[in-house]
Amino acid sequence: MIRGLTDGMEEYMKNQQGDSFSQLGLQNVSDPDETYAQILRDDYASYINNFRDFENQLIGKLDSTKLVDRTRENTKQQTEIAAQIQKRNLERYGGAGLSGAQLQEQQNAAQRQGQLSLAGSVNNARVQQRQINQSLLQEITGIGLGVNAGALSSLGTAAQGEVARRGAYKQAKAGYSSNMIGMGTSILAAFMI
Amino acid sequence: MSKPKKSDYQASETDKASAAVGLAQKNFFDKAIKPRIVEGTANAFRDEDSLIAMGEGRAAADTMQGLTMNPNRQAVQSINNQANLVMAGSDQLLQGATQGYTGALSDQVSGVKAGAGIANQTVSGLAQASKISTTDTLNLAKADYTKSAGMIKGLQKVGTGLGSAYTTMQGYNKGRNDDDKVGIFG
Repeated sequence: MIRGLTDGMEEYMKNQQGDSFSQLGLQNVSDPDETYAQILRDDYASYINNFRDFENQLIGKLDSTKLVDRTRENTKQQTEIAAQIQKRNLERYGGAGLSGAQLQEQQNAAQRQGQLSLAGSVNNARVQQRQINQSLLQEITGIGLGVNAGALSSLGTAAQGEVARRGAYKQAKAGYSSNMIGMGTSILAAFMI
Repeated sequence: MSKPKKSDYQASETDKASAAVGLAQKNFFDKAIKPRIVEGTANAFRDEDSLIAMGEGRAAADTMQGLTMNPNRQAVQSINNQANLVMAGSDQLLQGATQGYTGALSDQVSGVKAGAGIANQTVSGLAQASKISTTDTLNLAKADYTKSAGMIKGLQKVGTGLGSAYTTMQGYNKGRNDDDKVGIFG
C-alpha cells in the first residue's frame, strides 16, 4: 500500500515538473497572523475610501425626483418642438386652407392638450419614480442587512473573546490564590507537626 | 522529558504554502479585480445622466420620426395633430428616461453590493482575527499560569521540607537536651 503510494507520488512529481510551485516566486509569509491583521486593516481602509461615497450617493437617491424633473422639462420642450413642426407644415401647405378661426382653435387645442400632456406625463413620472425609489430602498435594505449582520457577528465574536479572557483571568486569579493558600497551609503544617 | 524546541513549533510546509498562496491570490484580487469593481461602480454613477439622455434621445427620435415622416394636408388641418405629437413625444421620453435611469441604478447597486460584499468579508475576517488573537492571549495566559503554579508547588515542597527539617531538628535538640540533663544529674 505504502509502496503504491510512493510510486504514485513519483509519477505525480514527474508530471508536475512543468508546473513547479517554486517557480511561481510566491512571497514567504513569516508571520501569517500579523499579515492577516494588516491585510484586513488595509481592506477596511480601502472599502471606506473606495465605496463609502458611492453608498452615500445611492442612499441619497432614495428621495430622487429626477424622472419627474426631467419629464417636466421634456414635456415643455416637446410642446415647443411640436409647435414648430406644425408651423413648418402649415407654411409648407400654404395655410392648408384653414381659416383664422380654425387656426386659432388649433392653437387653443394645442395649448390645452399640452397642459394635459404635461400633467399626465408628470403624474406617470411620479408613479414610476416612486416604483424605482421603492425598489432601490429594497436593494439598499438588503445590502444594509448584510452589513448589519456582519457587524453584529463581529461584535459578538469580540464580546465572546472578552468574556473568555475575563473568565480565564478570574480562574487564573482564583487558582493562584488557592495555590498560595495551599502552599502556606502545607508549610505551616510542616512547621507545626 | 526534554526542553521544548522552538523548531518543533514552526509552521509546516503546508501552512507556509497555504499562507503564500493566500497572499498571492489576495494581491491578485487587489491589483487586478478590485480596481475594476471600483472603476465600474464609478462609471455607473458618472454615466447615469448620459444613459438617461440616450434612452430619451432614442425614444424621441423614433416617435417624432414615426409621426412626422409623411406630413399631409389632412394631418396639418387636424386640430389635435400638434397636441398628439406632444403627448406621444412626452410619454415616449418618459419611457426612455425610465429605462436609462433604471439601467444606471441597477449598475450602481451592483457596484455597491460588490463593495459591501468585500466589506462583509473584511468584517468576518476581523472577527476571525479577533478569535485567533483571543486564543493566543488565552494560551499565553495559560502557559504563564502553569509556570506560576509549578513554581508555587516547588516552593511548597521546599517550604514543607524546611518545615519537616525544622521539626526534626527541634525534636533532636529536645532529645539532646534531655540526654544532657540525664547525663549531668543521672
